[in-house]
Amino acid sequence: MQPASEIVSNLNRLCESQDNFTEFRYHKRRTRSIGIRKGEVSDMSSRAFEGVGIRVLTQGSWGFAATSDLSPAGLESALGQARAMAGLFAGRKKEPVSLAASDRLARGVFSVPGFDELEQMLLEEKFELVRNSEARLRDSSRLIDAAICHYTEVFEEKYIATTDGARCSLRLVRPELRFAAFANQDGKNSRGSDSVGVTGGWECLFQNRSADEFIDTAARNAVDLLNAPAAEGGKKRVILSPAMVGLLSHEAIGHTVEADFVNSGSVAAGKLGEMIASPLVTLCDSGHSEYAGGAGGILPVDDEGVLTERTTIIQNGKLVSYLHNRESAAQHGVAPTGNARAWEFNDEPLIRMRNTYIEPGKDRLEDMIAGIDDGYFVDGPEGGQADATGEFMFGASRVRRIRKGKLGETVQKLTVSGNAFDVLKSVDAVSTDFRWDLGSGHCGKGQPAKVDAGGPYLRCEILAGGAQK
Amino acid sequence: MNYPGGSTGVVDAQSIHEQAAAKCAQLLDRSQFILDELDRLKPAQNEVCASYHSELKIVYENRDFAVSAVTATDLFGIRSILAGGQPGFITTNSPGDAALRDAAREVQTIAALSPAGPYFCIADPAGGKLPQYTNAPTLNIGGGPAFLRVDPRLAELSPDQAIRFAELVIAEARKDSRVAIDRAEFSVNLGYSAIRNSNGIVASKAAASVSFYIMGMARDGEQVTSFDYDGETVFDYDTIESQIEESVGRFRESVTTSLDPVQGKSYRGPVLLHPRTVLSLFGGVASVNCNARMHLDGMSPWRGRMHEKVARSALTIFEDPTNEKRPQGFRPYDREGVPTHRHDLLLDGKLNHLAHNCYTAARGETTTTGNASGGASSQPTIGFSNPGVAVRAEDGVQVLAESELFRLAGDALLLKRFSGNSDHTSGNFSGVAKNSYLLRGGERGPAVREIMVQGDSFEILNNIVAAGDVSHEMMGGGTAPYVLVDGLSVTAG
Repeated sequence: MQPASEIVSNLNRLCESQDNFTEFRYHKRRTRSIGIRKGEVSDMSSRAFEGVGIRVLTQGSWGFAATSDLSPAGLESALGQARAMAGLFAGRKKEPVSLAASDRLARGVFSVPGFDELEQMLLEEKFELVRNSEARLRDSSRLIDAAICHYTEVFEEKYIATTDGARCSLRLVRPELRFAAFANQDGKNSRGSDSVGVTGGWECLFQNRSADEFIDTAARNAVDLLNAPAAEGGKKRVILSPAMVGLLSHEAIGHTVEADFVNSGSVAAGKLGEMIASPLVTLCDSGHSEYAGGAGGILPVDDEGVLTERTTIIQNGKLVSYLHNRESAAQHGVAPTGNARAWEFNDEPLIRMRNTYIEPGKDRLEDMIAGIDDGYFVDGPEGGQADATGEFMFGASRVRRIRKGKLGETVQKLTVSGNAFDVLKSVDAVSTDFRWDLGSGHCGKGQPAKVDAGGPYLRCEILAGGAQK
Repeated sequence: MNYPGGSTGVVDAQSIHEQAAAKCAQLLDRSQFILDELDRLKPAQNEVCASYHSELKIVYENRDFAVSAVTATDLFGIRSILAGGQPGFITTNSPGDAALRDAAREVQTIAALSPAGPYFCIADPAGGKLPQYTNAPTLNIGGGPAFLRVDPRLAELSPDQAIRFAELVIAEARKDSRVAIDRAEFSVNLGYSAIRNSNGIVASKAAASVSFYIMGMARDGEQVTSFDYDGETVFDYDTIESQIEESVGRFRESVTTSLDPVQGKSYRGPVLLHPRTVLSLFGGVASVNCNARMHLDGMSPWRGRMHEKVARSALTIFEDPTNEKRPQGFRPYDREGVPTHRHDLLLDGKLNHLAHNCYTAARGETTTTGNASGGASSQPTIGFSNPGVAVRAEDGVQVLAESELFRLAGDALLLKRFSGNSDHTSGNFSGVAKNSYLLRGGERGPAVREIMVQGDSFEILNNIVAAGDVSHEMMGGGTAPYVLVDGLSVTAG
């Protein structure tokens, strides 16, 4: 199914009458949310945001305008504004923009399964799951005082037309479920959490774990943290869970290889062809969902109308590609990788990741743990950031001590840090497992973007921000 | 703003104000249209929060202009609480009659699916009288107060002028050739918002502003520093240039002094917090734990401790949404249309204020404090504006000239920017020190390489050793002095 045929035909008509490169992007995003907090409704809402973003490339400069007026007059007016904006930099632009030609411009209808199922499913059914889950989470321990369960589903419908040939519509849905438990004992408080986010239908949400398993994880996390000692700070050998491997891939490497970041002088600049990681590491970013279904960042076509693909960034330790839009691909003399993404119709596309992961290896998790004398098992991703220097940090909420090859007690939440390349060079074991596991995580870069990340378990050396004596 | 094409060069102040007033009136009319539609459906308490925002944006990336963009967006947030207490909320950006009628029907369909709760409600006009303000004088539009802060020269700023100011941002950064710009933006904004509810609340406001920010690092040969960023939102044309000079100068100084970092050492002990970090750590823990919802839900360790000591007596943390001199955080009324006030969240170390919106006030059997926050895209939550941290000499805490404070800190870490995770229910925070320095014999020494900081945010409120005698204004509003705290763990790589 395409967006309203009248909008499509108006955009096509405009597109066909342009002399300069012009990109039209219709985008309708509908969000429905249900939240229960300590037994009471905290959110029962719906949001619809619809309009068209237009980018014009004139004399080597971009102009952008957006409108929610979808009438022919409204679109014409926005087009005029975008043209005028593109003309503003005349005489000021140092290097005119050119676009890489692509033989991967999308034509046709792209629909990711799950959209119709979730749209037709009764809201009452979703509400019952959220209400029951919150109640079960709150009742799961006498130490838990309060709980939150929040469900969100985002329906995306797009139509993209470019003067050089893209004509495609896209439909997908991204449901997410988040759990948080708040425990207290003797004046000490703690919060435990878990979440899942996928591109797909209702069943896809629970393809790996049931609602009860998420509830159990959040509850145990809150209770365990009440009396957990602080982690010990310093360089540590650690096992990173698939979720943390995903976060490492995204924060530590993914951002440094976004071509706009590379052009600004990121630590990955000029390192193509160099060994920057252990030969055990192959790292990719993909618009598809390799190894397991339903990754949260599935994107068949990017917001420049380019078909997405799996982009191998590091092949057996060697840096082999950056992530590109059409403009950066032209600058670097390569093909675009389908990484141009815009959050809403009134945002211009930026280079963003999709599903970022490290490929599984050959090791068994048990053996990897057995190989650590003093370290940590790190799981439960929290916020993270990367820097131009290659330094990164991210938080972990479910951390256990490893002593003499055995998993030990839970310790407090901690933040781990390091230099991306140093950490990846320290990798000495990669498990055979694989899981997409960034949960409800989003990436922020001026605009949000729904991304996913994952991988196997991985053993490496990292800086833990724990307590000092 | 007159796009495309820009200003005629002649600014007619009266006409600009009339246009702003007309746009506020238009938003209030649309809001009344929605309330009338809702009235025709089911008996309910209804509220509409409406906004319109237009922006002209100039983007500079790496070494060149990247894109210029113009956008304008309407937004209507509609809340309906059916008789009996079933809540629903919807947001739409389509201002047409048909779309708004659909939204009115849908919000009540959603509400009908919600279980009823006794505390869901909207604001009552008896919530208080709005004061008179100077810089955003109170008018009457649509039967309610309206606050217009529209400098005509900002409202009419042309695209060419915007580019010239963007060039000024770049030039200011480039005064040191080692600065590498990742991205800089200069935007001209016109924002209007209105609130109207079925209990008779009516209020609106308009503001013209320009915003700029710059993000980047310093490069010297092969050496690259950490990213940093700075910027400001300006409401007065005459101060644009001085604000660019100040903010971008601060950014330039931050990244260039981050060059040649040295290895720090691991220790547990004192850390000197930069005002930016004071606001993020102290302000963070106070904003979470002075939120009445956190107390009512049993999620805050400060629940049941009103007027008890939770920090050193020297410490006061406040918010002042009524402060017109800091227009970024000026909020004459809150998200529910209730007048705002200055509040001391912690006063002399004691928990002094629980922030309420209408929901928590009903649940806590009290009155709202005007702390409902958010915009048309979200239901009212609880928040604070124009935060500030003040420390006085008391309870063994010293207030010193900054040079003396630095001397007292000895060889501690000067934590300028904290990039990490803070759990303000447990108090645990852990992260990386960015653009930070080592102190050497009472002077700011070299930048420090990758170093991690861990601590407990409740403990540091009680571990204040000393503070500087100057309060610094930070990006985006917020004031704080330098504060020396003890008991943090610092881990060097």
